[in-house]
Amino acid sequence: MTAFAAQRQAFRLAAAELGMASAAWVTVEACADAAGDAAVAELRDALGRDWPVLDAVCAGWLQGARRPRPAPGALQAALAGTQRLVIVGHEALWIDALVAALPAPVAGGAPALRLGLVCEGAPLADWDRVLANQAGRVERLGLADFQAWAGPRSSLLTFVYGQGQGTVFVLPPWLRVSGSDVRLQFRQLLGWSVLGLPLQVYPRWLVSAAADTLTELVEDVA
Amino acid sequence: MPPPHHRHGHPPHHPHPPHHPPGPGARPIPASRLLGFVDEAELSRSLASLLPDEGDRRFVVRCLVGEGPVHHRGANYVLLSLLQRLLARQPGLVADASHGLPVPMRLPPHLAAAAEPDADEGHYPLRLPTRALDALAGGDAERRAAMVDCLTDGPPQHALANVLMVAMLDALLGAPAAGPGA
Repeated sequence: MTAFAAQRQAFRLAAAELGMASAAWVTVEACADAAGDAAVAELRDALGRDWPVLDAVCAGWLQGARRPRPAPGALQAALAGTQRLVIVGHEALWIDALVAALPAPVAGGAPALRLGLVCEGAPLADWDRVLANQAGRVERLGLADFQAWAGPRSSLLTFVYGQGQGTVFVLPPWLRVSGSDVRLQFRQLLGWSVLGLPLQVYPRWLVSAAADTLTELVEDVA
Repeated sequence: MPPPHHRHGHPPHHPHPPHHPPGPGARPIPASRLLGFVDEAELSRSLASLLPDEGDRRFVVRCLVGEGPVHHRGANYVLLSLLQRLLARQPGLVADASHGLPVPMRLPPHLAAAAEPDADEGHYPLRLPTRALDALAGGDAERRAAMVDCLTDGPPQHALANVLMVAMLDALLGAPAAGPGA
């Protein structure tokens, strides 16, 4: 295996298990720490066309952007009244921040906000390993059973990587769960904007969905 | 003064739509303007006593007029608004959708079977009052059950509008009849 192929495979696994934005920030930081900005530029040239979120993060880094500190306050405000949150797509940095901001469940009691992750759409991901990172705080759901969490106190959440005119760039599983049969079974359909950097290459891996598939787009602002 | 009558097939020379459709199959109001009369905020205000929780109300209003085929959304708005006006004529009369039968979401059967019948989750945040339905069914439990089935089955645009309309009618029909001197 060539170094390039290994690099590509490594990033693909990281993106599957951490999420594309989370993996991109971790990788770019490690790259810059090890070999400076020139290596970040090289990384962008090598993988950017295949990984548009990584491309955007590399470009942002070279222009002075640094890893965001996810701020779940606005999301928590939007979740008022929600008791079960179905998360579609995975971004470790943002889910970690949300979990850390929530009150810890009382021993033996149910948490005020249950979190479920729809474990679909990333064939390389070892979902047991992904969920193990959350120490039981995030429950496993699939496309076949996430509607078991439907209800007036249940919300859907996905991550948004960019916006166009009337569109948002999201992960493909969002299209599978936001259909007309499902969207009126959940209190709200939230997008959490995580990238905040312009996508400069064709956003493969992502899909363009109508912005009104979301009832609210939450910006990640501190 | 009433507007001049326009014969079928002859469009008016002013920009206002005619009062009568110009012909079979014609759609005088473009779909993009069809819901111009729908005031979601007003509808939400009018449903505040039926759905006191703001988040629940936002959710139900989205189901009623925010999504789905435009003609259902418009019709829901018209019928609920008219019934609300009727209710408002009787001060003190308040419709109630907090008691009655649960209104289930139409989940895939394998998931619906696992849902608890009286749990909040898996059900819409309102209930179907049954007093008026009991009277209409004449005490026949199967008839009433069939009525409930018809009212709550199908897409939420229908089911939730049906439940709210029954709640309003239930209140209206339960009010003392106004006599000639009332």
